[in-house]
Amino acid sequence: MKIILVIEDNSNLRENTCEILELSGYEVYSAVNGMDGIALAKEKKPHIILCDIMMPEADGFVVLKELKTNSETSDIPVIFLTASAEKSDVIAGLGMGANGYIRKPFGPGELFSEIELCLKEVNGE
Amino acid sequence: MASALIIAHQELAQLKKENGRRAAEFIIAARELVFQKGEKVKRASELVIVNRELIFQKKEKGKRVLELLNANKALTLLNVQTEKRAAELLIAINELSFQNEEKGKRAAELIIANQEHAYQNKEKEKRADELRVANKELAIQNAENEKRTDELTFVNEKFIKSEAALNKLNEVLEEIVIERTSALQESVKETIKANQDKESVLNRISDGVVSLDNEWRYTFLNNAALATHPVSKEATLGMVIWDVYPDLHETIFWEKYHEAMLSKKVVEIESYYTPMNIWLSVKIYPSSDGLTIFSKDITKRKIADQKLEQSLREVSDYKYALEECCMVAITNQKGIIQYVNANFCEISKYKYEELVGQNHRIINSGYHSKEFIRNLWTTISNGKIWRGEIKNKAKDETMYWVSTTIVPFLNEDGKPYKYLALRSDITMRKQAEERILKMNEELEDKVTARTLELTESLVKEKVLNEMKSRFVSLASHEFRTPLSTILSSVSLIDSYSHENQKASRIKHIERIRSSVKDLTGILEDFLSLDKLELGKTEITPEVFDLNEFSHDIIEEVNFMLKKGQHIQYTYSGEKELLQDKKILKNVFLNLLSNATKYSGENQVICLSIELANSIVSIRVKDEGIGIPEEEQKNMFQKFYRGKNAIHIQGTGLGLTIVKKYVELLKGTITFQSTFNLGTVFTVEFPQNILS
Repeated sequence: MKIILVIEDNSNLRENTCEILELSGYEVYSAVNGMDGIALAKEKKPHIILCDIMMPEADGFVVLKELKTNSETSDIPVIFLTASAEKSDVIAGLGMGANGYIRKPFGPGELFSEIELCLKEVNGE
Repeated sequence: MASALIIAHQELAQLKKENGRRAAEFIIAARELVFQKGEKVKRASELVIVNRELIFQKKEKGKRVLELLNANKALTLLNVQTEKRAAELLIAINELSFQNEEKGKRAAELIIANQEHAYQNKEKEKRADELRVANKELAIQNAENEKRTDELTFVNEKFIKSEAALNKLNEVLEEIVIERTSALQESVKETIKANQDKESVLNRISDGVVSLDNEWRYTFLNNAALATHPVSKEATLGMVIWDVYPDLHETIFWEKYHEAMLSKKVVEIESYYTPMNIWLSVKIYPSSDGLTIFSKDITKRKIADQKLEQSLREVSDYKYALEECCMVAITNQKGIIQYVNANFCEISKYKYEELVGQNHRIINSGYHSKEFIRNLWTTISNGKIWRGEIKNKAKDETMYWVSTTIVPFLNEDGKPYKYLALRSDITMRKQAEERILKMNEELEDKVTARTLELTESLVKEKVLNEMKSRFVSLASHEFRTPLSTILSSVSLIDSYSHENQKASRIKHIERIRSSVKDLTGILEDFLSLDKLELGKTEITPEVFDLNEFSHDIIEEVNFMLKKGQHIQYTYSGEKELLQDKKILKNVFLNLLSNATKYSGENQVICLSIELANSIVSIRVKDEGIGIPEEEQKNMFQKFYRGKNAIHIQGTGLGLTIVKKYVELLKGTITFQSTFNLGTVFTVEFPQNILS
């Protein structure tokens, strides 16, 4: 079973996302801020991480940097959940090693297609 | 045993001795070794010295070799030079021997010459002897001659006496003849001279002179007249003038000649003579013999006259033009006005009589610098023309500008004796120039001011733009996150289609509602700001209990608190007030939600209210992230968010709205904050908004 970590400070969105993923058969963990997310990533070693950018206590970029520079977590693909209207944020994220991004507002369709794409890439397909 | 001992002893002693000897030998050997070592060291040091010396010598040798090489070079050079010298010497020697030979030849020649000389001397002596003999002979002959001479002299004397008498007679006769002859010659000369004088004078003058007899025949014409006549002098003399000049017939000349001939009065005419294309001045002197006519070609003079006339006319035209369009003034060398024209009077507003005799200074405006005036005077008093623009003063104290040219008139010494000043009125132009200058200055001022304004507004705009772009990214986050929730909730509701999944459906409907509420809240922030800014927010005062009101608010805020956060509440003073409840609620909610949003978990938020002296004081204190000092001044600006708050949800509108609301309540808002330690907001407003 694939493990997914969701880091998102908005509780409604976080819970909804978790629910959708769980219903599709993923094992899902969630964190309400960046610091918790980093700790959980190290602990659970998820197959994929969905991470909001704009968050209190370590934003998405901090989380990404921390995960990518740590050998335990550097191989985990990270997908940004971005609300930013600016392309520059997305580009900056990809430049820092993010594996993909999903633009808010998103529904289950966008969520799954990006996750599947990312997993395929990781598996070298 | 004893013996054995003794033997052993002896052996021992023997051994000891041996040992002693050996030891001594060792010592000696050791000393020798030491000595040899010492020697070696010495040798070594000697070798070192020797080595150094060798090195030194080598170097010396090197030097010597170099020196030798140099010496060799020098020698070679010397040899070459020596050879050259030798060659030169050989040549010199050859020359010398040649010269010697020459000398020898000369010596031989001299000897021969000497011999010849000696021979000649001898010859001379011989001759001298011969001469002496001849002299003696001569002396004898002389004596004889003298005798003869005496005889002859006597005869001669007689002859001379008779001849002298004859000569005297001759002389007297000759004198008489000469006297007669010279008298005759004189009278002839005088006659000739008189005739010649007359003709030559007439010939020499440039006028044509012609004499006619009473029958119009030529009796005389001089060279000048001849030049214009078609045939030779001899052919002309005796001819009738009308035959020589048929063209004269019926001309003015013809008339006048006849007039003079008839009236016997002198007639003068000056007329153009068409056949010859010349102007002639003719004087006709009648006499009893006929006429003598003096004629002169005055064409040149006539042309000059015409030209002069033309120039005079032009000058008078110029003068007229000048007088018409210029201000003309003439002063003497001291600047006393001698003449002004009508234009001058008109523009300077003085009368002619008021100006003439006055110093030119009368029209000075005092506008120009002393240096400017001095330069003008230096220029013209040095005989040079001055040109420039001058501001002058009219009689009525008004100013006028003139473009001026001052021309000095110079006497024989080159010194100016009067000045002619020509001016034209350029006041209009000058005024226009001044206006333009002024307008330019004004324009420049305006441009500067406008630039300043623009720069300021540009800075403002830039700040506003920055804030806007910040707002766009914030707002987009604030909007997109609840929208995402709605989208996912909707799709989840879709999947919970079974009857027994109603609870889940309701949960998601609730989430959708909550997200929509979030969105509405943000929208309301915008709308209320817009309304506030347009001044459309209306106050509806009502009486209420502030303490109760606060409790309600706290209850509402408790739902928003983070884990472990709680609100510490105190209240003192009266409770009733007359204020706009809705606006006050907004203020409370905003400040309290900020306090929880910018504080961490487990931190305390204090709300203390005090109502005293009809003034309500509300303090909201948190222990949160605080506001950096450098950003505190911007906190009430639209869309502004502290650097440390960028990643916390918010629109940057809350405090802007709060401030406007507080102002509507006729109150004030201030805050004190320390970075990372927390913030205290203080709001004060009157108990009765209508008071």
